[in-house]
Amino acid sequence: MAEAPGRRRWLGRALAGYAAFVLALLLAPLLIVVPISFSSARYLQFPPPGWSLRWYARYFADPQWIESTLVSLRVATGTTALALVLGTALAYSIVRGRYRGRRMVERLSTGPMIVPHIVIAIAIYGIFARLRLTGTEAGLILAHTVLAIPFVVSVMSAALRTVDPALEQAAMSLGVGRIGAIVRVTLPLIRPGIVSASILAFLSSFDEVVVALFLSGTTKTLPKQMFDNILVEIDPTIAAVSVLQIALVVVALAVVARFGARTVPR
Amino acid sequence: MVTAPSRRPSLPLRLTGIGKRFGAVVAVGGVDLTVEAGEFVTLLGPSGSGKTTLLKVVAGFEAPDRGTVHIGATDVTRMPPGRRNIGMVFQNYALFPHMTVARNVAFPLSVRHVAREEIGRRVAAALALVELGGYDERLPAQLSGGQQQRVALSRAVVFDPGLQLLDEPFGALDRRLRQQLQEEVRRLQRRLGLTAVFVTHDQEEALLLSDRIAVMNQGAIEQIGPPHEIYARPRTVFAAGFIGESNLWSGPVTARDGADVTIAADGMNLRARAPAVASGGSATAMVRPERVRLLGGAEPADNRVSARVEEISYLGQTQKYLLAAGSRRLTAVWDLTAAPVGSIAVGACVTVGWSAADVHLIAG
Repeated sequence: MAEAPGRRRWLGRALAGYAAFVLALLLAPLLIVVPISFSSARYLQFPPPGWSLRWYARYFADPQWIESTLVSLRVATGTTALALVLGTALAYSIVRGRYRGRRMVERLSTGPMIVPHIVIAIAIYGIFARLRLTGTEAGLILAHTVLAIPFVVSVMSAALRTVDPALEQAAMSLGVGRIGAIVRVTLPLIRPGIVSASILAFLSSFDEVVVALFLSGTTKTLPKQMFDNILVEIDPTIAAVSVLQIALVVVALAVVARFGARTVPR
Repeated sequence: MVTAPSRRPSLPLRLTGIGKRFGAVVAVGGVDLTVEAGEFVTLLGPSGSGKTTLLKVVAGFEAPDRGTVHIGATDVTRMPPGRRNIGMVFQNYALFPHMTVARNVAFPLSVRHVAREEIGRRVAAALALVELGGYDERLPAQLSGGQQQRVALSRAVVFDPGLQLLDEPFGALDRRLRQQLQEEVRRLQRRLGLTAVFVTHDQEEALLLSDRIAVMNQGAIEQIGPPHEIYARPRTVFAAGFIGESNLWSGPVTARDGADVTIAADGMNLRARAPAVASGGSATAMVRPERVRLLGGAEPADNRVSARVEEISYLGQTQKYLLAAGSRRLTAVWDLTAAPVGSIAVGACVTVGWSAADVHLIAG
């Protein structure tokens, strides 16, 4: 017993050290990428020999980068809207439904999360090639929606489970139909879940690269543009783009933290 | 106090042959029930008796497999809940947590596109009815359970429903609040002349509030009648056991002497007044605990039993005695003038009895 406090202190230090190590691993890429993006050198060089904003300027001046960014924003927005509508409807049916095979539907709804993206990408490419949807933003939106639906379903079904079904029944008995009850009562109550689900869906599309590699063609998304850029030339523009992308994610996560559901299940 | 606002009249409810099964389970098996306009009828039964399913069928949350539901002259069997004009009060209040008290009460009016000034007026009147004037801008979470249920009550009457449904509305409240709200519900129902169907498993609540009680068991109504009739003359052993406490003995009817019969039950010869029961059949005799009297030495009684006191529970104005006579158990409830506290101790031997007229016989 006498040595217990000493041992506990030792354990505490070990834990702190381990935590610091993990944190360093997580932060290391940022600590490299952010300085490089402000580098004055023409090549990826660390530490940077001097500082400049030229790579950011280059990004904003290059129509290819800007165009691919806009494509990504449009695709991610379309994906968010479509996945939110379909995923919420699916989540509602899973949580409130009483039909046969409901559990099967629930399992299947997580399918796109389990199947490797490369497999989905090839399968979608095969179908879209026949439908002439490759290289179109609509095609990308449809494909990304498939990938985003599992996020929306898991967030929204968790949110829906917190709403007492008696509230919808009360609304219906007071004079509205089921849709009216959902719009007036359920949706306002799960607004934090909607915020979380939207942002997860948006980011899942905005960061997606595997499907985009197959489907983009000339309609390049930002990740595809980055990928192509690395293949031909390596300059710190890529680091500047990464930093901008990270900044967007940080903002999005801050929005979730402020307005989103308290827990975001994945 | 606000005077009762002028309102559209309440409507009678008529259920005909309602049946509902869930898979292989028959939840409701062919129920007929008529509730008169302005009447307060309670569906009383244990969980699984079908009372809640029946209420949901009336509300429109469950479609019956067969049978029809009429509110007034309208067949509402296939009508969605919102079109039935029913005011429903739920067990967990079911107030909309994101709306203020005023907006909760206004909800049924605003979805009916009632003019704005009229909504304000009627919401204020409805909140005054439950003495919650001035709480308009609170959120439900800022109210106590009792206040929340009163908001729910006023939301359920503000739109002049033809029928009011109450689904165990006091289940989540403590005893004192329960009693207050029970009185409030009854007062409101009488004042507004509401037709009300109330679901509970609490027999005391049912006895207190109802014009009539429908005792439900296994998806059917076993007996329906005014509380005093259900209490004094239950038609089935289930109804006798479910409402109030009772001493029950079964056995064959062995002799008849005018209106009096003798039942050989549990080694006793019970004398009962039951002109309708045939000799030779079997019957269950019911004696309510308060009908069991404590007898002095020579006092005559139709039925006499010597028993040992096993247990005494103090209930305030009365005490409950658990008595054992051989292998038989019986319960007696005596008030404090008949048996002052301490006058009878556990282990004491007492003679108890009851008159033949106090025995209620259930055939079968």
